[in-house]
Amino acid sequence: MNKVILSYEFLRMRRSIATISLFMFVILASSYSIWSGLAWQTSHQDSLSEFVEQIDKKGSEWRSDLEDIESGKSQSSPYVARPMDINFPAIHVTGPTSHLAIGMTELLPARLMISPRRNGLSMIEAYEFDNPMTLLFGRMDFVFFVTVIVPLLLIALNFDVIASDRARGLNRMLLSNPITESSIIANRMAARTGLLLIIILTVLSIGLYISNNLPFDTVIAWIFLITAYIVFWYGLIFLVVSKNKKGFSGLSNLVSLWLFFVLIIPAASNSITGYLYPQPSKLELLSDARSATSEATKQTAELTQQFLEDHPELTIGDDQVPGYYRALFLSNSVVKESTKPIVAEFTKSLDDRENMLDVLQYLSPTTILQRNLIAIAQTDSRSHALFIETATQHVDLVNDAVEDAVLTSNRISVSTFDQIPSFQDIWEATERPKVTVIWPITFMLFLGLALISLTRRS
Amino acid sequence: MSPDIISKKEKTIMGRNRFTNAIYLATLLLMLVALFLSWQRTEMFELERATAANHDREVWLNQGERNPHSAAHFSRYAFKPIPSLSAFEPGAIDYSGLAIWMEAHRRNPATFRYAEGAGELANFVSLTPAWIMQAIIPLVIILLLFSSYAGEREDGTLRQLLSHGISLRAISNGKIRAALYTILKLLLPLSFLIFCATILAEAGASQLDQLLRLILLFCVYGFYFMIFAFIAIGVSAKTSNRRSSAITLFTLWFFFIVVAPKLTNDLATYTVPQPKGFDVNQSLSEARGAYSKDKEYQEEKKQEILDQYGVVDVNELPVNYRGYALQTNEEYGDLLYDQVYNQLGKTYKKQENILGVLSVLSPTTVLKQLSAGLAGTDRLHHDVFAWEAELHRRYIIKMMNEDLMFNAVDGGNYSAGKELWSQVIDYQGQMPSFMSLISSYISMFGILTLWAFLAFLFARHSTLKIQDL
Repeated sequence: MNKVILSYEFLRMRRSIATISLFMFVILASSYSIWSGLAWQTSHQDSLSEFVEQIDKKGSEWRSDLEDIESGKSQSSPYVARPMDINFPAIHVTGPTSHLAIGMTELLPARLMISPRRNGLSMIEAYEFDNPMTLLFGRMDFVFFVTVIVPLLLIALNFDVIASDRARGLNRMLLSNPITESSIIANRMAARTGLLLIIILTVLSIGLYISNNLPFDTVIAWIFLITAYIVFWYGLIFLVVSKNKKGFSGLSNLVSLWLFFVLIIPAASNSITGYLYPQPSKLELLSDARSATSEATKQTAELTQQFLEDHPELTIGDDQVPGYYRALFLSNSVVKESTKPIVAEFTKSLDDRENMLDVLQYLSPTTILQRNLIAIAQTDSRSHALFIETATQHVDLVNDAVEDAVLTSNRISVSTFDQIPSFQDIWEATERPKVTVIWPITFMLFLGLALISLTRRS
Repeated sequence: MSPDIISKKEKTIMGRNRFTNAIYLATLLLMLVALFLSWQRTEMFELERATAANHDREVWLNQGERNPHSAAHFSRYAFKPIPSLSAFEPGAIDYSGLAIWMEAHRRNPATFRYAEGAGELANFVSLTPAWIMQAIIPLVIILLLFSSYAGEREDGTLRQLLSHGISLRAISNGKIRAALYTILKLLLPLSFLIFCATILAEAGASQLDQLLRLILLFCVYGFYFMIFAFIAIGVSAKTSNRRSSAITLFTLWFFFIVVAPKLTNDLATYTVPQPKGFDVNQSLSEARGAYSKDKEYQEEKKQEILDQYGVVDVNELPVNYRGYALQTNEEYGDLLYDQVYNQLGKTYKKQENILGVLSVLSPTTVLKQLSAGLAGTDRLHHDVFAWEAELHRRYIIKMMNEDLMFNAVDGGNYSAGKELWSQVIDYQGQMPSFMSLISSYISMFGILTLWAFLAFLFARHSTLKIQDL
């Protein structure tokens, strides 16, 4: 009997213009969301590559100058091949599925300049040139399509799965067969939802296929997360349509539930988290950095003197290197020390908020799916914080390599320079935040199956 | 029977409906929570801004003795004034920076965007009073009105009304009046809450300007709700039953509010791409270095000052030539910076024009822009702040360069002190009056009015041309 209902349902769908139109919309909207994300990511990546190319070119020129001075091909001068002028590019390389989940990458800085001239704040290249109004409107990437649009499509497909039959008395005829009403609903919904799921997973597969070096576990995680999310909505819709005799009241209830789970709970979760763990003031960080810079500038002579007393083995170079090189280097060190507490506060606040959201996400499967897909794509706040942290470590590494030379107005050797690793090497060796999707998937599947089982029993 | 009675009947039914009352209460409660959170956030922003501005002044005044040009490099920060209406509509304020470093040789963009630290969910959806007014209340209006005609038709009461000699026009007038009453019933308490939360707070603009903005916001949202009410009545009159009416209206709501704004934004940024940060940085960097490359201009300016003082060598000048050269460098760079930022402004304008044209797809797109504009939280208001900060930067740097020029006549290691630093007046950002920017919003008002007019025509036409009873 179940097979008959399924076949009947597929036949009905084939003959319904509204249903075919809806599936066409699914194909178009999901393909569009992938194209939109891909177009943005390509342009973003091109810009980053251009930046790396330009800085690397300058770096090669700098090294070549240093080689010439070291080999005696050219004469030393105060401004050429100075260690303060070392620059390394640092770019935030996101995961292979970042075109499907843009996340925070549109907002957060992805280009950093690693140099002894820069500190934790000034290493960020100016990047805030996007139109704030277009940022406010946001983009339609695949994550938005799956988390927001798909549940509504499921509602549109399934809300009248039985109500219209009930209204016309057709359900009585069906129930004269050895089958329960819940089985009829479940099978008909399974046919409709199954077809929708197949379309979404097919388009997703194309989206994933476009990516380079895609790990197998990432593919599995995307497929299972989306499937579990759809199972949850299937269960919820199954419960509501089974309880509502009239189609429109079921629809009102489902739209209210969509609003609750997709918009209100995520917004409330974020507001509660922000209220409990407010982000520290960036303006306070700025104030601290400025105070430190001002104090360090005033004390340049004393700080240099102290350094030279601590390192009697070092000799002062002959070149008349401008004094601001040393002043800048010292002020950056002072800024780093003085802003340590507030930087730590930022890190703690972000951790607290993310940990809190890790718990609150279980209030809404939409939040679960959105957070996990963005985390897998490494376009979330955690991944970005790790990028900044790694870049800060790289700045320290470069500073350690050049400190003696800068403070004694000397140069570093070519071999010392060559021993400084590039940011890319460090970033590739850095362990990314672990994304455990087993619990989120299990939770959504459990919820969905529990709702189905509950409805069948009642 | 007059439209008054029809209207009264509608109001009575709605008043007795527990579902309707529950929706009112839930919306009010949600609005109260959103207002509290938003107001608290605005207060925190203002406190942070005031603290940072005071601190910046202290650091500037106590920087000690140093060369004025070195001080010009250190310079000061301009902090954006936070409009109190941002407690209602944060608009693009989270996506535009809060502070601008007014340093020598550089025209910097505003930095410290709040959205960067707010997390992914905040960019996904944010619980603000404006969001409730833009997304939730239209849904409430739909829930209240989707059965206004379709329900009567399904229950057979529409046929009864007409058999009593009531004209379609009278029914239409009555229904529309009831819908307007519904809107007022929603809008008035919400407006009162918003009024309390914003007008009583410390405003970045004059109270009169604030009041004008609030009145216009009231009108704009009134028009917006009317659009949804007219569409709901029109669709309800066109559809045969409650179910069809609800499906059509929910689909329209979803398209207008969820899909269309993102779709139009995608199209706008695809047609006119966002400026690449790297490219803009390059242009700014070229503008910064242009003076040192233009030897002809340097010579020309050098000759100008030599002629002015009637000498033949810079060493004979009664002023410090380096200070003069630094100032000419600044003025040369200013023109080039203006070109870069004007180009950026043109790009933004083009994107917003496309958003404006594509507002024919959804009234929400134009409302979002108008709402942020009226609250003083859109890009135009940010640009006013950025330009004022730039003028202040030029004022500070000129003061430092002129001090060097006129006081460091002997050359050598000249230093200035607190006396000079305290002459620099603080940046006092004021929110521009709405009237000074109104020309940029007229077309948006026009589009919204057109939407309301077309929606009214649709409702009128649908309710007066009912065929199937």
